[in-house]
Amino acid sequence: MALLEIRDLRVYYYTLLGAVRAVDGVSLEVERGEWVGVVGESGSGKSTLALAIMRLVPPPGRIAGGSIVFDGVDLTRLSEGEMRRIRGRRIGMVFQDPMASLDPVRRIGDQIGDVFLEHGVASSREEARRLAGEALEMAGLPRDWVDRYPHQLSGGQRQRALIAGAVALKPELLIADEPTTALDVIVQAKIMDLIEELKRELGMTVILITHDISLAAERSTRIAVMYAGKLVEYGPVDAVVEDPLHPYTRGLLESAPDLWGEKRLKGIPGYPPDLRRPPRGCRFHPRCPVAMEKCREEEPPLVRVGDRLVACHRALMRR
Amino acid sequence: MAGESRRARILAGLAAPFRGPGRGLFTAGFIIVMVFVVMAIFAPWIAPYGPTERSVPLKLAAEPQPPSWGHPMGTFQLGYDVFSRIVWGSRVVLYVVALSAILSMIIGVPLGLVSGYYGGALDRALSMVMDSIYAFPGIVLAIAVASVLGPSPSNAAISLSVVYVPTFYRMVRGQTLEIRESLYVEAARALGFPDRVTLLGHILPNVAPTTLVVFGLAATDAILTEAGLAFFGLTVSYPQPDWGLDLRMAMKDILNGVWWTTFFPGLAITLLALGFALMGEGFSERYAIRTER
Amino acid sequence: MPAGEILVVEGLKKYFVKGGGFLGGPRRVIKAVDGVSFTLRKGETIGLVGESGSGKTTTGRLVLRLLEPDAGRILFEGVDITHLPESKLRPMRPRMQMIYQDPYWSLNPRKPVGEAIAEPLIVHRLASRSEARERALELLERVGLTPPEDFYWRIPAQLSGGQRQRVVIARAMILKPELLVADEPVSMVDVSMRAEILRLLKDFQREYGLAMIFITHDLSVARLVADRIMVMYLGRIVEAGPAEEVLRDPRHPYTAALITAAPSVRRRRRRRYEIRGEIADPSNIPPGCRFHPRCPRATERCSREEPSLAEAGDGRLVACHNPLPRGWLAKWLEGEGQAPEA
Repeated sequence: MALLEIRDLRVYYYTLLGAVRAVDGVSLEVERGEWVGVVGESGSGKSTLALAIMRLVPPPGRIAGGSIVFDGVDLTRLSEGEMRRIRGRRIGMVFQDPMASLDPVRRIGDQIGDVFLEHGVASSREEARRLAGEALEMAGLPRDWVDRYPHQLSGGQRQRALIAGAVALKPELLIADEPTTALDVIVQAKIMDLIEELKRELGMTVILITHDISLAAERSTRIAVMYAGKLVEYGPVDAVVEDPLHPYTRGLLESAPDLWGEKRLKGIPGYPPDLRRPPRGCRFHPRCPVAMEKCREEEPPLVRVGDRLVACHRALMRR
Repeated sequence: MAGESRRARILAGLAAPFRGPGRGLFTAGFIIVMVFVVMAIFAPWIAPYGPTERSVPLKLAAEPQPPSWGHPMGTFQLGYDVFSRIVWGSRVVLYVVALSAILSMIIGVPLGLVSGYYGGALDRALSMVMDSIYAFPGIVLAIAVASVLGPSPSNAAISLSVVYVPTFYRMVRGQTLEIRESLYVEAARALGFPDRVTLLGHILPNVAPTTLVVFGLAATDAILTEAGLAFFGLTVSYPQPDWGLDLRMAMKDILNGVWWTTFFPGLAITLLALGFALMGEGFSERYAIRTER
Repeated sequence: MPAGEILVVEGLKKYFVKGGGFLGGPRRVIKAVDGVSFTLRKGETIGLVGESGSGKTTTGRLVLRLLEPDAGRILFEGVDITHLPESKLRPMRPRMQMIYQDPYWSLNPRKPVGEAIAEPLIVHRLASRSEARERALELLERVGLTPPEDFYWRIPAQLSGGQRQRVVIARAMILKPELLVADEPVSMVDVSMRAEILRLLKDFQREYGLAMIFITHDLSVARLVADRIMVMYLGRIVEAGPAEEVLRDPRHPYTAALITAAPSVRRRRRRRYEIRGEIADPSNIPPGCRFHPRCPRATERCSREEPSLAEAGDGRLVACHNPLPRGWLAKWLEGEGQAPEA
């Protein structure tokens, strides 16, 4: 059984100007021990998807339908109290901005220690701090940095501290939402190394949310590509990047500058749609170079093709 | 095409406060203020009596008369109709308040812009002067200035603007300091724009909404302060009509159980102040401007 | 000055002082740019690459005199503009333009974008108001905001990030500048729209013979636009040379680390040239070579003596006592042997 099974998930933000369908019917399975890269541009719904799994979608957003089955339990049906026991303990999460996620006036050790106290693993502040020290060490920071304040750490070190907190209770699943976007490439590579190492040591499953398809491609087992609230393609990384089935995936790959790739970038014409009024038919059709009549009329279903899922009329014709 | 769109944009700009967040507050305030403006303009047609006209038979003029069909707000001593005096009085009040708010804006905004943009010694000197004025209780300062200038509506307006110049100055200076550091101001410099263009074309339009909110605040406050000045006879002299002055003349009535001669002028002051306050509040909500008073 | 050079920069320095004074905390001198020299030829693009804190953005702003340099010289078309008063500089500004990273805040939020594009022509009295509007409409069309009439009166809030960046480009280009400093112009633009922005810049460059300093943290973007690449580290240039050669055969260990750390779809499982730690605080620059605490090849000399940027053959400049041997990266990436020791 898959560790995580998302079925027809819909997350809408209810604004004055209408419902923004940030995630609109996404289905996705993640097996134990996998590293899944979720790729998309701004407005694709990738971050909302991560928040939905954690049941942390901020108002006016709401899970409007579908299910998120984690290890046999539908998270969408849990009470807030039950969910709190899962968050941090069985599913850990790391966010983009390490400074915003840390309280500037509290010591690192106390902030990481919270997770032990909250889940009743530690019975005292002292014990929590000791465990926090161990967690820091696991993330490659000195144990005695529990006494430091966030501003005494560099960007990369702060992200390490946050990762330490996220994996402190050895969760089965780690969701990392753009964990390295604010960092420079060399530090980024090291943080990715750290996540990979922790994944191996703790036997974790990892979901990496990123706008950078190159970053996702490097360590993932499978890649999920999202566009305008829809999952458009999902499959093993080699297959997806060597032979993309969806024209958006292809476009994204051809848009990403690569030190070892083509010197000419292609790009995708046009702009992403307004999610309050998404286009009829396939949401990508106004920007698609191979759109047909059918694409304007009929929304393509997400269909299994070999070991991949793809939502494209053209791709289905090709097979 | 360009000309039409420009007109459309101006119209849209004027209509903006009536739309979007805060529109309810703004519209309510606007209606209240407009009622008083109409009253002031058409006073001769709206007021049933002249401001200093005896509206009751001589034998009833000695004492204030309670509200009746002929005098919905009653009469003052000497037989002056309360409603009529409120209508006529709105002319003085609106004149003083509008003139003082406009004067203080005309002086405070440019000073704030220049001070915030250039900084330096000029900024330090101006800030010190403005802060010391600001620290003074408004009504005391206004009375002091008005006593020096002598009682008249225009002098009252000038003394009120002394009180409110620092309010505009501080707000505009603060905003200018912030905007000066923004990327689009640096971009203006990179494009080789002279300071005049940057100040008037790029900074002023961005402080303008705040200025209008401050205008609302200042006008609200000015109504109350004006009433204070009038109370001490520093706007017009009795028997010319002014709400604050009428309040003063009617003070002694309260002891005799006569409520209408103080209640209605007081109500007029409160309502007009409320009108300006609502407009300012609605506007600040529209443009998400936070004000500290 | 030899013909064809539009910009000569010599020994440029900029120090910022933070703190000090009453309650200001300890006084720190941040050496943002600490001795930078280079020349830019007409029509050429230099990719100025570095991590945050390397001083690349400060360098770009100094060159345009948007910041006052503390030392050094800037010659623009042979004219020393280092200490030119703003009033003398202003008439020259249309010839040197800047594009910012953040397309949200580099436009006045209350000015319609068409007016923003037309404004430089009107202010510099290069066209009448109606001519300027005509030109602005042409440029809107040219940068792909079509139909231009629909975009002219929109305010920035009504445009996406990519669209705003096009407006910023149009506003800079309406003046037909000779020099453009583009500071991370695509890093805040969605991936699928970056290609279009880069293409626009290149088209304008060809048309106007524009010389460009393209500032970026992303080597793979620099590769697409730059003729030459300059790598900055803690306020200094550590390596410079023809773009493709620097990327294929880096000689400075830091450049090698940057190149091999950049994520790539094409070489997903490549070897990485590892360096220690993170970039130092620019207010506390290490003695000797400023890179030495992180360098795998550092020797005792490196902690003592600062290397200068010196010729290393074939137009390559490297600031390193022990540069990597020529041609090593290609072999090393194929998995042959250890990284060369010093």
